[in-house]
Amino acid sequence: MPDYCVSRRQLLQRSLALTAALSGPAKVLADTADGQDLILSAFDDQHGQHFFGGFDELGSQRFAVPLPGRAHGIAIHPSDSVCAVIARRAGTFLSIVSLPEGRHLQTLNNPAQRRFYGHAAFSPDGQRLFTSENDYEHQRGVIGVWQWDGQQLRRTDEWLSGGEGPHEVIMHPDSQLLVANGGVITHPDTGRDMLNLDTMHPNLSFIDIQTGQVSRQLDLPSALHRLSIRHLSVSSSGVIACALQYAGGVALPDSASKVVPLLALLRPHDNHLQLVHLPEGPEFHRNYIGSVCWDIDGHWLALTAPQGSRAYFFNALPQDENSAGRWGASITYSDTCGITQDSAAGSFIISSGSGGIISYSPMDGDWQPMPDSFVRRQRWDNHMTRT
Amino acid sequence: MTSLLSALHSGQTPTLKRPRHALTGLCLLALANITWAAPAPELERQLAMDIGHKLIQPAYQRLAEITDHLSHDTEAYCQMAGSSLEAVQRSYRDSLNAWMRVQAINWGPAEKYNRNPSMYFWPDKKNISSRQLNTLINNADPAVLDPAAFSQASIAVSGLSAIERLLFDAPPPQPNSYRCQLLSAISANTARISQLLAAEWPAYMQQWQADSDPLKGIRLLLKSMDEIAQIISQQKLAMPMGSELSKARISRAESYRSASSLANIRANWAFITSLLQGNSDQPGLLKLISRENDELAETLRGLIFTTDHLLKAMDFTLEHAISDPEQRGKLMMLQANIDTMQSLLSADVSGTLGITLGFNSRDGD
Repeated sequence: MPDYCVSRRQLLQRSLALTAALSGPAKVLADTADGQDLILSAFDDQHGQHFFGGFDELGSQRFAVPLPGRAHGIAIHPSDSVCAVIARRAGTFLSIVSLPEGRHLQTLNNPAQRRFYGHAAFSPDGQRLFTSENDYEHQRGVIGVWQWDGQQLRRTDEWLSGGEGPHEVIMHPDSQLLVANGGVITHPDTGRDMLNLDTMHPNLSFIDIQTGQVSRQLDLPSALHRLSIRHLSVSSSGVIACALQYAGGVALPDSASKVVPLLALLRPHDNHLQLVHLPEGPEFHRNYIGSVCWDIDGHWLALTAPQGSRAYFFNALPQDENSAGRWGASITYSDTCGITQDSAAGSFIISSGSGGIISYSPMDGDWQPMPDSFVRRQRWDNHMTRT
Repeated sequence: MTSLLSALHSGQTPTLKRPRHALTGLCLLALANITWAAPAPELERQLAMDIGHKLIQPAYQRLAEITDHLSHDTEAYCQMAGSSLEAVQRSYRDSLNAWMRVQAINWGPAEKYNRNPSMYFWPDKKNISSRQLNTLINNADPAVLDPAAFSQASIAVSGLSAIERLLFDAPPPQPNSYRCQLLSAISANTARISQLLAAEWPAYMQQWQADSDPLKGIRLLLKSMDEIAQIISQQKLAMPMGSELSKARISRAESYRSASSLANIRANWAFITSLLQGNSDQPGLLKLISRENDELAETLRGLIFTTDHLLKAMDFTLEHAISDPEQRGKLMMLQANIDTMQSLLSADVSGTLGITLGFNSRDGD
């Protein structure tokens, strides 16, 4: 079983090896291999400059690539040592960065009449990259299809996303592309303003990547049409978790206080989304979940609520036939949003927009802050992932 | 806020699970962009620098002096030159207490070379410190004891958390042993880091003077206060207490070997309150807060008063209290008060002072 803490121990020893002055105890320096894990996230430094960075489990910097603007999602290539970094919605750039050294290889821009909507995913064979985009003239969501030839990325095709405002896209284990069509329409002339709150119609779409056609769609009940489906995570056993945001912003009186479910689950043989309420009311999270992630075993699900500086943990092991699972601990962590799997079961790596990254295990309530001051100094952006 | 205030007036200890100030705070924050951009921000710069000079500098100075004592006591003990194990342990507890007064500051000089986690490495989930110390002791390499080499050691074996293991874990260090020499070397390293912190702090303060952002100092202070409140509640209290009595674990307390975990919390709390209240010749952040929002300042004063009272009445160690039903209840009250403080700092105080601590909470996606 992979053990995060064993590798953390090795990393501590490696840092000792790197600084090299403790020359005596050869045994301490002996088993210091490992250290291949690389954690990735966009961040702002203390001067507000935008970067894409890689670091190890101690929080020590591996690289920091300057970017033209704030980045958002990261797509890791399944076999080549590269990743794609996508501009924050409604952005105009997409960068290809080599791993693990962090060399900037290529920057592409949005096609005319399109804006990047924050996320992307590589196809399982690594030959294509799919980006969520907005076709703002026609007010519809599209998926940009890009060919990766091992060196360069180029645009080859475009599909309908199956709705408006697509945000996170991920690959399902059965090789379909999952699209969170958030349902929110924006236009570059009005920035991030939501233009269709009354007529929003979010959905979760499955796209067959052989044909580019939507093969399946799941909706929310019409009474909840303002619940934007924005972020996705699929567990090792194929359970899809959708993290929701109640759209409307502070302008609408009920948007931050109405009690609505913010988690939707879809099990492999289910034919509808199962809605789950968070364990706390909207005064704690303002009906806004920023990121969602399964642990490596698919037993624990983590959700972050940056507007309330809260993180929630859901144990999805079936308790009985009627329950989807049960809520475990909730924690306060300043401005938290980025979240990714830890290398141990039931454990997560969680970042803070005000600086710092921790490992947290909801089972036993264990915290382990990453000690290196590199991760303390940066303001970590919304999403984090690991190789 | 109403329920908190009424609890204060009725003389009860406020033990709100978690106040619902987030909305208030965010509304204030929305206003803050309009209202608080204008008034003389140089006042904030000056207050932060005064706090740095008159409240934080002496704390660093004290840390440097006390760790210097520890280093000398340790050396004397190991060389059988007049100290005792008990005296060294006392010296250790004083040093730990002095560090906990400034532990929350993880920027500035404390950020360089990872000095902050080097001074006290915790949590240490898999007991890395002990393992690395045991390896060092088994190898008994004299080269490791060289101060220059030690300045570069793994953070897990370079500060007070390592000293605590050597001083309180069995077997106790015998004078003239390698274990004692290692203890002595780590004590010297701790004193060295502490002296650098005290020495570099004034020059660091000058950077606040020159910084284009007049709120930089206040922001860093508030961030540290908010963070240490989170850490007290969720790590220092919740981890050893566990979710129920049967899940209490002494070994998950921060300084269980020296039974100092509650003293650490007191010192961390004193950091928060001293920055808010100041002392007889230096006002704290409450001066600014009451200028903008007197009700909030009153709430903070009341919370400090009741929490200090609660802490004063705790005549037990955390290590014992976590497994005692009655004392455990008091720890839970303490935790609720700390949570209230954290929530007030992160939402209401930051909103009132026009300070944003991160950026995800503002604009997500």
